[in-house]
Amino acid sequence: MTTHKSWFAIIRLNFSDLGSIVGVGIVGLIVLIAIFAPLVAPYDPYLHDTIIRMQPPGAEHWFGTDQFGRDILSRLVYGTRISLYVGIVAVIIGGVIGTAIGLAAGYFRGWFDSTVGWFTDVMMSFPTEVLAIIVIIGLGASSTSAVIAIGVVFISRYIRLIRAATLTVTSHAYIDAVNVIGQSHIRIMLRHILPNIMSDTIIMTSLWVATAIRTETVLSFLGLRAQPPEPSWGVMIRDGLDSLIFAPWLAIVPGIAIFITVLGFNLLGDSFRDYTDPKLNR
Amino acid sequence: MSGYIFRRLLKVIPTILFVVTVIFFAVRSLTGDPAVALLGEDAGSEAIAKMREHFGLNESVFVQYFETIRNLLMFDLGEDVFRQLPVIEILARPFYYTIELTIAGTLLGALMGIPLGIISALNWRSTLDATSRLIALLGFSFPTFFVGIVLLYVFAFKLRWFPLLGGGDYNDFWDRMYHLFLPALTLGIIKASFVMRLTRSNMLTILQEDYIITARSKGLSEFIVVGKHALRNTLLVVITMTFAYMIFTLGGTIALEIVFNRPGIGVHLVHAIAERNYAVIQGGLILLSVGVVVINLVTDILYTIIDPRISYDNA
Repeated sequence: MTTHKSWFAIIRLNFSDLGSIVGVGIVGLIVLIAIFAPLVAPYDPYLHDTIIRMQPPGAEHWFGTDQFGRDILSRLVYGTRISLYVGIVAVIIGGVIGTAIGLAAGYFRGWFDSTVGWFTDVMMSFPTEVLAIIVIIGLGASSTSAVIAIGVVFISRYIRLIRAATLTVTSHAYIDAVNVIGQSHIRIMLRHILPNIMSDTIIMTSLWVATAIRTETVLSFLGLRAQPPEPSWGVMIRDGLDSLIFAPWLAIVPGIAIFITVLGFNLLGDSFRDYTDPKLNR
Repeated sequence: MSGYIFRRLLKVIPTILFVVTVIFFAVRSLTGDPAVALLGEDAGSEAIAKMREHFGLNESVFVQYFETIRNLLMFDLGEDVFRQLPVIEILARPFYYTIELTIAGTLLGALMGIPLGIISALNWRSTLDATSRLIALLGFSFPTFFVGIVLLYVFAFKLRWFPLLGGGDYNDFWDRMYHLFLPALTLGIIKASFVMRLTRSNMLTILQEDYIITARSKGLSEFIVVGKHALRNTLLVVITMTFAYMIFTLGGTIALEIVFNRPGIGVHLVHAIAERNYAVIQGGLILLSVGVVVINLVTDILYTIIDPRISYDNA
């Protein structure tokens, strides 16, 4: 009985650690696949071959072929590049702009802070999809505008995160000290506040890359993003949906790819958070 | 409290105005002339000019903007130039379908997530707890529309338990519910992972409060301690937060309507974007925004009711 219980105890105790191992493994693998896509992909992802169209998964084509005879596996492999690119660039756009505004709002306070606060509240109260659609309509549907739209969604999230962290850091005595010795505001913000709030930012960034990748697939699925030949996972699902009855793998396989990627970044972010959060009793 | 609610209501006005302004200028910056889109590339310049005149497209952007605001005050969302119908008439029923799906998804999510969260918290650090936490983490990583596709394939194509597509006969309540179940279940599953985590962490915090220890040391049965003292306080928070997160459920309906071909706002919006139908895009986005603003308003009012410690009238 005791041994039985302790066996479960080991699994329980290692639950978060196991999670981080899986998370690091998945993210690492996907980054490698994206970098070495031409080497990993067995076929040309753009090559049409109508003789072998709509083939079910098999030895020749592991995940089958689509309505143009293109190899699904190869398209998935190249799709990792799009997902990672959109996820990372969107978060960088949101991160840089949001950090700058959030830092200034938390440091200067006053009317600037309250204006930014109102703005952030309004933006945050909107569903990601609706906000992204408004931005895409404003910019015109293209790959670039989708990246910008997802980035805009994250600006308000970063503002709120960075502002709160800045407020905490600014209340410390050493900030008063550097103020007294006459350092410029810019220097105080960049040299003395920013380095102290970076860890919070990095943790959330990992979780938000997951959200950004998921949002990209939704926008592609809605037809608001990629140009058709681009092997974006969301577009692949959209194309596959029409033939769900005859060829379910067309929509299901890219969906599983999205799931694994998003799960990897979520696990990574969760384990970062567990690792750095002193409040969590490990 | 009524003073707070009144001031909160007043705050809605600048928010709506701001959102409508952003939507208006976003839609105006769409490339392509709606008159050309309607009449086709081959139409004579005279016909196009007449069409532009008819829809007020020759007016300056600012005149059009104030016109839009003035119409909105009278609940007029403009006219769909393609179908020659008022936008409100076109979007009223889709809006109903979207709201119906959002509410049903939220309810199913709460019905699945709250009991799971309570069971997890009561069996803290058991295998059961670890399993349901793992399932919740998996739920966070699925795009909603993909879960919809899988359910559609399994329950509608393969097992044929549910209808394939559509929103059901609008006038037949049971037919509508029959069509509603599968998409609502999809939203519910995703929502349940959130609700489960929320219920679990709230319940765990509350179970460590002093008044729970007091109740236990008084010798009250575990059933009373959990059922009466812990559960009630957990539920207040969970229900309020679940309501607040209805906004994200609303966002999830857009792609889900495409999957299930439900005639909701999402489907109309995506079609309108494809055919550059200014008025319908604008109307659809405004209706979704009004939904968001109403959800936020009710959430804030719910907070004042559940948390009597905060005095809002002096705030």
